[in-house]
Amino acid sequence: MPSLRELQGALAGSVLRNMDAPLAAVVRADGIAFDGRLQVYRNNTFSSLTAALKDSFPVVCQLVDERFFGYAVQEYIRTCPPRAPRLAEYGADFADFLTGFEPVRHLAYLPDVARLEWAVNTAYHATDAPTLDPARIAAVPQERYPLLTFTPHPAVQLFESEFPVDRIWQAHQPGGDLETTIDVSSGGCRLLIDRHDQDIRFLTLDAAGFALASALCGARALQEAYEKAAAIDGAFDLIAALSMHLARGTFADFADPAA
Amino acid sequence: MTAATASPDVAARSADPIPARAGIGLRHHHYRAVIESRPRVGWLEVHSENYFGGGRPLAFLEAARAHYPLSLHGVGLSLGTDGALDRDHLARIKALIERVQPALVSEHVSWSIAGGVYLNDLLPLPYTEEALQVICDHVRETQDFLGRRILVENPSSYLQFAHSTIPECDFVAEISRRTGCGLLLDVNNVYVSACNHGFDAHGYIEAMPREAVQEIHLAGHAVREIGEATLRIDDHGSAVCDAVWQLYAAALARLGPVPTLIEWDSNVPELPVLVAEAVTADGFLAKAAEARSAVAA
Repeated sequence: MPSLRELQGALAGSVLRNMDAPLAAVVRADGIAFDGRLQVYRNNTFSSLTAALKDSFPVVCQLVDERFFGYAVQEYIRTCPPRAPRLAEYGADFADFLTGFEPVRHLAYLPDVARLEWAVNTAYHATDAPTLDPARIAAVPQERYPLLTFTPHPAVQLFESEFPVDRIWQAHQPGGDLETTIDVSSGGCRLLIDRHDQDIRFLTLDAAGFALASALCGARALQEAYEKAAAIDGAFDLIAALSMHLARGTFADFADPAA
Repeated sequence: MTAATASPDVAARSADPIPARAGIGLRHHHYRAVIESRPRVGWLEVHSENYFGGGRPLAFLEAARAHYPLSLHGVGLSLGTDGALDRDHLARIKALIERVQPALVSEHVSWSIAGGVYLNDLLPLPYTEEALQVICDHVRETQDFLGRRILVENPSSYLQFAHSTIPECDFVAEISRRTGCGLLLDVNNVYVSACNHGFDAHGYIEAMPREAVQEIHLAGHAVREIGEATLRIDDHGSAVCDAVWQLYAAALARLGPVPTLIEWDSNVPELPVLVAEAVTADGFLAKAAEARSAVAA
């Protein structure tokens, strides 16, 4: 008689990898072979996780078609099963899986579409938080600005790709333009993704603007973030960029080390 | 913030008990329809795990909560796993409880996690003294952590373990006796498992400790032929079948009116179909209440 821990390990192995040998003796046959009974649990796990991944990666699913998506996620579920009992967290490494998945090696942009969809999901499910009131920054003496650091709003995601995956994503939304061909070598995209009134928004940034936003969201001080942007664009307008982020609600809070 | 302190409004709602009426499981397909049409159902239940973040799901839940008493039904805690409970998961349940003030909080007599892998399904336990101790320890730990009583739901299952020594109904009743938790009697699960394993569904319901049963679940199930044999699959994908309505009537005859939830999770119909099922359940509940007052008189 197996211990409970042994039994649960054996059942999980059977559900995910069809490893049935340890179970034949402990499951009552009762007119249906034990494998037929375990198949119900396999179906439950694989069909519910497939549905969850389809909800999280609808554009990848459309791009490769539903049957192939089902095949790909079956492999993904086997090799990278969920580690937490929260489906909203499942799929973080799906893009990495696709990068190494031989049958889609020729679709170089596909992992980046998955990364973008994951960023959208993360923004969608992020916790609620108030945004930083611009008046609080206006009240800080200007000479202390260089050392200010910011906390991004939990929904804010920064995304960069060498492929035009933002246009691919837009074309595959309900009512999107699927007729116009998108040349995948027509240039990349840099995006700030966030949530406004519960809707997902994309803000397209240039290289300097993306460098600033990345540095600020990575807790770098304003001076250091500006220098990264200015190294790309000598005419970078910091005041305009910072005002725009404050007005959009990119940040939840800030810290003033001199205060 | 997620764990915002209760506003006066929330505090006022916290006394909202679940009435002995029919409620419906609120799923995302019906968010807008429920808030716009405010169907005349007694209460709502949601899967806790879908509201651990913020944004649209939580905003809809709070909007619905403003009009209905609420029950939080967890599917991820895995009370039956031999291993440590996920404290992070418990903390999220607690934060959600503080935020939406549910009248009931429930989980399952099953397991979903082994070796750190989450199978996203409710798998059966062997009914042994070892498994009983594991799940009772986890129910106690959960109740201590949350600072409140929880309900646990009897499972549907498609296999039995040769080394089980305790009938399922006694196993479930014993969890309540040892931990003081309440029971969520899923009548469809009783019927499905009774058919699949050949036990007496009425006897199962007779074995439930009356005072512990605080909620009932009803749902549809599928029938699958496997070779010469039949398995009933608890897919929550159709209307409640006649046999389950009859078993429900028998349960109410024994238990009196108990808050009853209609669950529908696959092939989800338009909201009025779900509400019509709740109206049917309300008819059974009204009869049970009449019978009870007739006895009292």
